[in-house]
Amino acid sequence: MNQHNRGYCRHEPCLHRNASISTIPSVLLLSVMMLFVTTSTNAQLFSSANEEENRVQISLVPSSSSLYHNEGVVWIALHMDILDGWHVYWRNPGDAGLPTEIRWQEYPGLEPGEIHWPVPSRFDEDGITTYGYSDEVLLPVPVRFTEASSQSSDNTVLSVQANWLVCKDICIPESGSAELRLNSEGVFTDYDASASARVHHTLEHLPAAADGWDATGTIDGTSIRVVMTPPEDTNLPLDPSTLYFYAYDGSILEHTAPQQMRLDGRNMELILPTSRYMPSQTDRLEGILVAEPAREGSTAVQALEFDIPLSRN
Amino acid sequence: MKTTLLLFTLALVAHVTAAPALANRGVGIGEQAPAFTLTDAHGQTHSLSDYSGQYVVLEWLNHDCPFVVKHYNSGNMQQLQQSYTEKGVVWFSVISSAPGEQGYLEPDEAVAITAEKGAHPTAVLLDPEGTVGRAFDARVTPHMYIIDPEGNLAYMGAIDDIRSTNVDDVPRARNFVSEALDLLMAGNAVETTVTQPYGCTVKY
Repeated sequence: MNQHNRGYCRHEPCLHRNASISTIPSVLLLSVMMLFVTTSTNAQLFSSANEEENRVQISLVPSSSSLYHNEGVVWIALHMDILDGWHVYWRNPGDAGLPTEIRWQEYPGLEPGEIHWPVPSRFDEDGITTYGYSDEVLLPVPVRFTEASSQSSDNTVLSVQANWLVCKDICIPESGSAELRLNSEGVFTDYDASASARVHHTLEHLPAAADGWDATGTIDGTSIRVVMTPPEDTNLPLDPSTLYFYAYDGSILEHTAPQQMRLDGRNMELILPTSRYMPSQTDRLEGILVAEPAREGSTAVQALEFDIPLSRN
Repeated sequence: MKTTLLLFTLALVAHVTAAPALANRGVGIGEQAPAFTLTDAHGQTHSLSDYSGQYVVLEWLNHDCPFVVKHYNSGNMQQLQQSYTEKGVVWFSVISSAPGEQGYLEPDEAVAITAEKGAHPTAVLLDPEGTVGRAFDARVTPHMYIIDPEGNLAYMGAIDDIRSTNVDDVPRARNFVSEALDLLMAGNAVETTVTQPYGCTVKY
């Protein structure tokens, strides 16, 4: 081969071409290798190679014992067990942080949806506010299945890779994988009824659509004034001091600022200070209005989801 | 639905509370940037007014923050610093971490890590009391600001449009700082003057 090449490539153009062909892949390979080195250095510095050392332990919890329990959809929640003092983030993490991300391994006939985010908590740190979860959280995802997924063999595995940022006084990006095993009937082999009940509890406490409410907002100087009219059967007056509006888009509201809520006859008025980073073309405010527990130890939290059209004054 | 609404209202009691008024924080685009004087890692003092007539970039820095690590491990930050300081831009990396907090560096440590990272800022400014950080309302690392030659704020916010700690996102991101500097230095108006910053909280 060598001899043949030498003989064939005696002429300059041939040698030149030969050189280019062999150089390009080496450069590419080198770049790929360097990228790999950079990435792995990163991983060693900022996340543990061993998932067991993570500050957050994850698992998958189905809402029912089998894929075919409900019509076409089963809820599967990512359970995050968070080390004391640390927290992970909501869809809008607030002034800092990063939302948790779930990547599903492809599986024929299964279509995972988006995370349905439970009501978050607020974390205040040196005048900087973030939104997220401490202790533990279940992040439910509706998973649709079609005929194809019913042709599963024994020991089918549904698996996810999740990435999250976990913070205390410092932040660490972590990642982990979790899986669910299914038998040929689509039954989850490690099904735990009590864990599943907790998924149902989470689902029941997800923000509900604000059906029957009328809400409009006006951008006025450095705040948005929202007027909400509840449906007829709503039992007003409310205690506005227990309310907080969490915006989905982190650039619209000033997370650190106190929000003002007051009653005006049958209407409720919210004064929501805007962020310095609000885009000038902002014309909607999507988010959840949360009645936070007033009493210590109370876990009753109710939330309604709004999509509020905004006008300018 | 009805149940939810009922619970929503039952959880509430009747009375009205006024929230305290919001104090204005930081400065807006086109406004005069707060004057400051800080000492750099080499012990030299810098006042913003010393650089009147030049573009000044402020980069909030904490080398242990994974968002900052993304921009230094990829070489992105060093490359921006080098390319714009060569064009006459003054680039300050500002450390507002308090002593004992993550990212705080003694002057000699700051000199060493700057060399180790191959960084090219004009200077690394030390703000252990957080005075300058708070004056600018810097909340995250890396929080980026551009001040124009007249001393007015021309850009504030994120370094780019991909909120992540992943090095792979750097080449595919839209870099707001270089975009704004290029427009400004060519005599054009900046299209995106404000973006929501992303990163770790500044450890005041």
